[in-house]
Amino acid sequence: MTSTTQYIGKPFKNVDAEDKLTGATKYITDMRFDNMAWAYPIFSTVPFGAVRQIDLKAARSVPGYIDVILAERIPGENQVGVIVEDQPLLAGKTVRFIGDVIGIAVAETAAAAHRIAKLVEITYTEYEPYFSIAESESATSQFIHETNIACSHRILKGDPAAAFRKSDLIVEAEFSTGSQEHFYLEPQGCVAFPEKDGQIVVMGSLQCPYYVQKAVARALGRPLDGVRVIQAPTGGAFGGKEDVPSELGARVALAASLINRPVKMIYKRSDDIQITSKRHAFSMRYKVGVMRDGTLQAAEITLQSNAGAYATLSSVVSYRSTMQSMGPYVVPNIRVNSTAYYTNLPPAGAFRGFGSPQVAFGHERMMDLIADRLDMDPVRLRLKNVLKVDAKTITGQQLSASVGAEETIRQACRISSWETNQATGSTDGRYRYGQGIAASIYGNCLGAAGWHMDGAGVNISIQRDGTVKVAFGLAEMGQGALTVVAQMTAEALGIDHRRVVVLLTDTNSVPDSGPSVASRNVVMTGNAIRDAASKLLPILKAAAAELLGCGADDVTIGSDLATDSKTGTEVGFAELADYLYRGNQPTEMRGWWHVPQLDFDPDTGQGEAYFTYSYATHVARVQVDTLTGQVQVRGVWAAHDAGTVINPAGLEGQVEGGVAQATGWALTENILVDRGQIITSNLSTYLLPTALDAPPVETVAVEDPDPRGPWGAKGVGEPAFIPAAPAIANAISNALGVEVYELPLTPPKVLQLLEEQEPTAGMP
Amino acid sequence: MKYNRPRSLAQYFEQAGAVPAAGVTVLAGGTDLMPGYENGRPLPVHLLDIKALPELRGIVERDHEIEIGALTTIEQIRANSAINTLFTALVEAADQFAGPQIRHRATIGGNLVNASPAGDTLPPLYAYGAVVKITGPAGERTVPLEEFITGPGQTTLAPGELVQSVILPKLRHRSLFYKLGLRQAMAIAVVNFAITYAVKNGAFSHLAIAAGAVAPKVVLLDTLTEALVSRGATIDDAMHLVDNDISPIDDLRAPADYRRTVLKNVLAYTLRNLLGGGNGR
Ligand SMILES: Cc1cc2nc3c(=O)[nH]c(=O)nc-3n(C[C@H](O)[C@H](O)[C@H](O)COP(=O)(O)OP(=O)(O)OC[C@H]3O[C@@H](n4cnc5c(N)ncnc54)[C@H](O)[C@@H]3O)c2cc1C
Repeated sequence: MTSTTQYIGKPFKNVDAEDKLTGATKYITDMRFDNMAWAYPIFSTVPFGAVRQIDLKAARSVPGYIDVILAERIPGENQVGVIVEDQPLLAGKTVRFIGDVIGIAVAETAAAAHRIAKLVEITYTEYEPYFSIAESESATSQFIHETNIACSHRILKGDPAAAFRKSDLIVEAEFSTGSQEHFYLEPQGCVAFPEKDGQIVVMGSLQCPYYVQKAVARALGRPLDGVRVIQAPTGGAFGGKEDVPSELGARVALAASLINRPVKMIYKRSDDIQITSKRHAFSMRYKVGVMRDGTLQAAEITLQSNAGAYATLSSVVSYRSTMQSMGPYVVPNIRVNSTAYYTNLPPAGAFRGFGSPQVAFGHERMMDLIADRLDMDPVRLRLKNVLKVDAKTITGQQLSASVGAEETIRQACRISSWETNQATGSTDGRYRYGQGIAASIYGNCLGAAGWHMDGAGVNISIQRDGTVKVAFGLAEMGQGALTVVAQMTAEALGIDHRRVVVLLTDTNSVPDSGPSVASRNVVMTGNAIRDAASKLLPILKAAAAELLGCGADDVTIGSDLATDSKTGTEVGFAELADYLYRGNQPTEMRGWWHVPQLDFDPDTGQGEAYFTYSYATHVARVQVDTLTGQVQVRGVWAAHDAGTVINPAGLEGQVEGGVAQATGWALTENILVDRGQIITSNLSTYLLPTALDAPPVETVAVEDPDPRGPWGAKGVGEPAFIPAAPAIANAISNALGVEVYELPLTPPKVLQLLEEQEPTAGMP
Repeated sequence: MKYNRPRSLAQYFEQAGAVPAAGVTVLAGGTDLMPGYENGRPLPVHLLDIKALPELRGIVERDHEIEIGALTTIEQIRANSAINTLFTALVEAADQFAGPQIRHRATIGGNLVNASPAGDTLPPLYAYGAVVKITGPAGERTVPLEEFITGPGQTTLAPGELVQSVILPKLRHRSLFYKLGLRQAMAIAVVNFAITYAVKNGAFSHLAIAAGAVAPKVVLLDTLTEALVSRGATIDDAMHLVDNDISPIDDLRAPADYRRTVLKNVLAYTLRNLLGGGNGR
């Protein structure tokens, strides 16, 4: 593929990297507006209860006090639920978690706003809270919402009962995975300012500008046209800025419109951790039937997830985990039931992988357990069952192209020299070494559950001097979106990439392009760019033909030139641009692409769950200290099928970042909660991996182009995360010769595993 | 809040004396104080920044001791050649302390006065028999470190007094330091310890072990070392004696049992290696 392209497949440094590294980038916290006031949320300090009384006396005495805004002053609807309408913008009567926002303190300074928020005295009638899935599930009255079930999904394919009877071996296990905090470098923040024409502008650190626009319009009771959302440079998101900025945006917009001044709100880190959504903790039951030769026959899977106090994105997280619950394998007979339960914890929302990492831990631990019971090589077991072209997924979807799953397994084994490695120990017995493998599948874009918003646009505008402006509807949040958009635009128009200027996302410039999630930017924006280019190229060719005195059909465009293919005469792109203007030709075109219609039946979970899939396999090697339970990941070897790679440097960066983040989820990141209060709410207690903890990563791209992707590309942002944690867990299991069933595997837990296995372990 | 940066001890005493002592807080590197303020600890009436006091600076080597000024940063300890030659455990503790940025700001005086049970310079200083030199309006005094720290965050420092330096008697023995954090860097110790030792004919002729994060303050494991040195007990037999000297608690970093087990596991392993001739320096 790359041989015929100029920019696709070439490594590019992120266009915004230098400004970010040197501190030149201006984030929300750096932005000042004349006459700006500050806001801070006033939030519940009890996990579940009714608000009885709100006393503002002490708060009003704070110097710099401007206002305290409560629910009754919302002019529009008091509702910010993204999918399910269960979440008030300001909780008026019932509070459902510590962090449920009841009001907005507004003041002249940030410090005064914090102080006011602290001094508002709220009395509650407390209810008995539910924190665990089990507590939530067994409730009989006093539910968190109408019921304690946030959503459920199912798959039924074939005849699992009969297939289990025919199976030679049935393996059953229960797994659990912990929650995870995004810990984006930049905490949540938004600023809103009223414009003279009545429009309200919201700028924020966010990844879904159109969600924010809708939320603000709804809360203020305005048409969409009255709200403009501009994405500020965003210091990381990872899904954490998918749902939450709608709340922040609507709250600052409400404050700004009520006091008619610009208002800014930035969460303090510890509050950000307490208030905002996180990864769903999962409990999973797997039962898999298999033939002696390793062929998977049947599976029965129960997934339970902890949704926290509000549904936010639980229904689509649960959908994705259900559809991907058996990974990249063929299972002819399967039943899956997935339920998300409300609890009185902070809401669980979107986090890189979106329900996939949890089930990947389930299916990849299962594959190792099965291989062990069959006394079969775990790689062979995976290769035997892996999806291929023409195979059917567990949703009965026949895959027509771009199924690189098998090749990712082979490549991961090759670059890690899988076969020549074995579990060993140090000579004095202190350290044990092991390796693990895990494969994964990831449905690209929003899938059948989100098809109605799976379209995206661009607006490409050639300027008179030959520079090209691109507005797109998805967001740069550190993943390199601006860079690939520039690359793809240059490729599509055959121009020098330095001509391309990519604008930050603004709801005023491109139609609603859905959320910047689901690893969908390259696919969606890339195809939209090709659409816009297909409209611009004929205009360029016609103009070039006039300039070159040839027929339009003879013109080829590329390498920043238009060339008469017969004579070889050329005209540069800048001259061509100027000529377009002089001839009063159209120079701006919109592009749009939507995911092909998907045929899916939610009652049986059968059909086209997603239009295509990315695949990945990771091999991890670990060292386990048997004296302390400390695990050091010594390396991860990653093979990814993301179709054609647009920016190899970007892909590598995504994989390294994903592996580091997954290493934290697997080993050290442990959210501890005391009666609804998160007690690991800073960097010294919530342990992200440091540079010394993040393993070295070797990445190889398995390019199996997808005919529907731009130049054959698929997504990689989330797949980068998904197989790493199960690979690490499998490696620990391999090193110690014990089975592991839960994440995170903190040192105390690993030591406990060792002690359970052999009481004298650790005392060589 | 008032802020001053006195240029000499005399000026410090003058400024500190001007307000009731309870209202004064001294600021060194600020790596304990500033996160505390960020987390809601009330600001003092008067913050006195002692970073410009020349009397609290410098590392001086004498015949029988080394004196380390209270303002010496962890990084300066790491880089000092006299300390490197004589006090391996302290250098190793500095090596494993936080990360580069913090090491360049954090001071040894701050680590002492902060008196965290997990403070990383403390086990080496206990094992070395360090003495704390204190200066105050009434003059100078010295106190053995063991008496200086009275509990978590508590010392015998009187209002208005400063730690001027810490004095280490020159050691004839080798030493080592061990730290377990829950990740590879930037982690508060879940267990740390320092050992000074000498081995003769396959047995310890000298042994001192100071362990941190397993009691309200750093403890010397005297019951264990006494059994090993004076009574000739084997490591396996003596290890349970550690329980006499420690009293770990459960906290959000690790359960008490984990601290107890890991301390014994790693200590037994380390001592065995020392007797086997390997590993120790
Ligand atoms: C990110 C991070 C990582 C850390 N990692 C570690 C680690 O790995 N190991 C570890 O042990 N600690 C660690 N710490 C804690 C801290 O860095 C140390 O305790 C450090 O030694 C404190 O020194 P300081 O100069 O910064 O103290 P400051 O914060 O300035 O002061 C601490 C206390 O001592 C008092 N004080 C300071 N100097 C004097 C003096 N000369 N006389 C009288 N009183 C004085 C102050 O009034 C204050 O009460 C870490 C801190 C942070 C923020």
